[in-house]
Amino acid sequence: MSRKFKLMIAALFVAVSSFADSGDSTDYVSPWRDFSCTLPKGWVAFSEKDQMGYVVHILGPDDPTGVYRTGIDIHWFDSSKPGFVPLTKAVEGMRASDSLTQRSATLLRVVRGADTFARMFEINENRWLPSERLPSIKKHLHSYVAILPRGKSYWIITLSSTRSVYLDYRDTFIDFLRSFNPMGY
Amino acid sequence: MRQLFLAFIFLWNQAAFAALPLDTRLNNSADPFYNVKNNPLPKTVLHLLMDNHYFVHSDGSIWSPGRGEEIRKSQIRVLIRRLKSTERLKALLKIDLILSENGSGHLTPDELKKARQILKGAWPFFTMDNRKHFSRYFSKEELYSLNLTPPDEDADPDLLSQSPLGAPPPPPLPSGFMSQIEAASPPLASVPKSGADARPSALAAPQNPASLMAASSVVQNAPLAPSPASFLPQFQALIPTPVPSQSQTPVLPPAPVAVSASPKAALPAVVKAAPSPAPSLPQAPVAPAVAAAPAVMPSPAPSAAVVPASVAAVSRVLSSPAPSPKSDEGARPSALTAPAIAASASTKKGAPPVLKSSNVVSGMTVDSIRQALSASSVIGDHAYGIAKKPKGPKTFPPLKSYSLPPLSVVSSADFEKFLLNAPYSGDPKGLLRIIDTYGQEPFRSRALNIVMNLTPAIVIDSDQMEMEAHQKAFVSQKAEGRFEATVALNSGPVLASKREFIFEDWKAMLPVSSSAYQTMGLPAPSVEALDLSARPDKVESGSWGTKTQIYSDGSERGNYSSFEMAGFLLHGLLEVEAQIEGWSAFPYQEESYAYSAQMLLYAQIKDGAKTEDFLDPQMRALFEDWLKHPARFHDFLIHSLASGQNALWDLRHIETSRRDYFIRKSYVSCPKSLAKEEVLEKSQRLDSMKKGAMSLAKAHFASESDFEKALSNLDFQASGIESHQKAPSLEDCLAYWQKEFMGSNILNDLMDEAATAEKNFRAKIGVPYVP
Repeated sequence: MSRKFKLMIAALFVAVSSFADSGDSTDYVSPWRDFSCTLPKGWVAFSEKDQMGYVVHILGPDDPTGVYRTGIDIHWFDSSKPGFVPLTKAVEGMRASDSLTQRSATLLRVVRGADTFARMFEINENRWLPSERLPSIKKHLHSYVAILPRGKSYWIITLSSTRSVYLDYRDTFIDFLRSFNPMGY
Repeated sequence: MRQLFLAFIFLWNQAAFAALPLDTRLNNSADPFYNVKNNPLPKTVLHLLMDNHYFVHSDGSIWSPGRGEEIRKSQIRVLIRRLKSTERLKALLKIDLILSENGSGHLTPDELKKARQILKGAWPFFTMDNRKHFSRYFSKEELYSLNLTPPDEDADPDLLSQSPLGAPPPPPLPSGFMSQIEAASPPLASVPKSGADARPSALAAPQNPASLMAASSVVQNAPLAPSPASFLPQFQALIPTPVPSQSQTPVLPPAPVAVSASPKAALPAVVKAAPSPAPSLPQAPVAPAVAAAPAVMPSPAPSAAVVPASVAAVSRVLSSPAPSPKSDEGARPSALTAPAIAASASTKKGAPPVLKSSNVVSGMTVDSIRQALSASSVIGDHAYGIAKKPKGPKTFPPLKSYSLPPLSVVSSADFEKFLLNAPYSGDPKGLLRIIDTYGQEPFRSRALNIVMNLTPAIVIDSDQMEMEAHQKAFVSQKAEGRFEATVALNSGPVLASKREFIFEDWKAMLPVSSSAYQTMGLPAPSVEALDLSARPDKVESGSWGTKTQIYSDGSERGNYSSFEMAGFLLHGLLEVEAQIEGWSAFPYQEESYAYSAQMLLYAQIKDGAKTEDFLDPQMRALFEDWLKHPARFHDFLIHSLASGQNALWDLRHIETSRRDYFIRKSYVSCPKSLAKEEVLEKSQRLDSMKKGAMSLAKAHFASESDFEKALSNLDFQASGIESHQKAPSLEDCLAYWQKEFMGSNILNDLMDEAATAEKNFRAKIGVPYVP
């Protein structure tokens, strides 16, 4: 194979890879470097401490009536922390129905994550939104919840939005789960 | 071999293309098209697009000239920046041509008129520095009206891209503007119009303003418009290179250089130096202000007092006779910075420059045009009516650090002693006693310290709540530095429902305060529970209170229990402390801290009462979440606070590193940073009103016509925010950021304090941390 031909092939590789990389999403690595993910375009992430370690919140677009901002929340539950609740019990608690908010959950199903399978379910409930301002309207809230176990510890990833727009974010959530990549395990 | 190679390339491309994700193959379908109806653009920008042959279709889509491609959301920012930059460049070159043609240094009235016309046309696209350069051509009054449009500035992408609420929204289109555009636009027969329904659904959803910022990198490769780069070769030819010195005459500041009048003649970069008279004789220095007075201006000259030293210095140089640069200096200095000019004028050998006031308007040097061209990132303060200050390094006192003072624990006996003589009536005293008894440390002592030191007014009056649901804290600082505070509490919610045909039942909690409707620009809904003269059909004990009034139209006026109101009061008192200590600037942390206090109080009361019935259904749902699913509670709090209606969210204030960076940056750019902050706050508040009005209209508590009127009224207010902005003083600005820095310093300690209190409580009662 001539040298020219090899060079052309190399140039072709570069062109194709740059084309493939010209996406518009942003890669994100958590501040404590235990996972990376791809943020949906235009969404912004920040982290904070909580009692079980750290949480990452990724905020997206506002609801059309401005009562609730769609977003993804990532919680890490470390089995070594005091007050840790095992996964089965946690899922039970999260899926428990509540007459006060007409909370109900769908059945558990399995979806494919970045390198593992995640268990996923959906929650519907009624809330007064916004909670601290008037006028406040009773609205349906919807959450996609995914659980990614890591040994005894686990991640809980939730995408919540008002029910009027939740279908717009289904693919966003699935894509996000696929991009979610645990590190250091 | 060649055919084989071509076939291989073809197959490879096909395979690579097929391997790409579907959305990439569909030409970035995740990137929606820009629509001026969903995301209004300022009028000047729309005109700019149309002047550059872009089509703004009546459905709000924007189409590029030539190939007729629809502009995407990610492209619009770069496109506008390019068009503005082109406009600036054109105007500067036109001005330069006028000055070059004149040659003598004195503009004739006709030339001056022409120059002023060009400048006025390009003024909206000028940067702050451009405006400073050309402000001499206008009177103070003219400048005031011209500067009502803020200078073109590129917002700090680092900060704005992080904030979903980032920049204030652009003023909306006036009604009927779209039809004007359509009438003015050429027919779109040749434009491949794909139809709104062909677009991704994301277009219909409200977009995060940060998306424009975040996406700006995507468009770098997209061919959009005639970019300034395509003009550059011909325009660069018009800008001559510095002329090397030829003579041995004493050094004087650079002279105006005339560029050849005709662009064609200018192409080979023919630059003729201005006539170089003999070096001027030493003269007594004249005050720069005198030099800056433009004697040839037909309009009233700006007063000497407002002319900054930098302008004076530049004017002095421009008005001096053309020097012959010293040979050992080589080329003439290319950058004309005011301090450098001033320094060279005073320190180098030779006479101080001759000051001829008549020459002030005469010469824009090539260097100064270059400087004007290059100055594009300076944030302008004209937009906010701030007086010009001399350039130079600002020396502000360093920001003072602050730490959380040790908590002085208030004993029940001391507080009871205080209450005996406190100027409170029975109800507030009862609520304060509940806080004293059931409140958890450190929140209890913080709140009681506020009461004992400040004695805030505590009123139970729904009419003072405006748009707040439970409590509202007002703090004002008197001239002698003393704080005065009021905490208003809501006595009970007003609930109403509207049925939309048979499908949906809208339940709403409505504001009682008439001022809430006034600020939204809507009439109060015709709900009996809001009418104080209406008599209830019955009064009964229900989930919204023991004395819930039920009216004939089905609306209800509930009443909160004393225990629940004690929680509101505790929340309100901590808000008062936050406003005094400076951490009210961080709404999420402030709310999170106050909610911890409130929920711990309810938990303690529940522990004694063994029931949650003292809470209304809304608060009970929040309390249940906080108690059993704290992670979910905090997520809900964030998503709710970050909504447009709450108008409390600012991502710059969330993480410590971003927060301190933002405060320090704002502090050193005082006072314009405070002016910008105030504009942002006002526009957020108006946006919140809009969203509130929209909520009411959607739930059928406001008619469509009333809603549209309210919307146009709020839009009108939003369009006038900047022009009505009062210029803050430097002292106010410094004090503002210092206070915010103080709040930022203690925020982490406060959050740790709240987390520890919650953790101890959970450990004590054995509630696990369930997600």
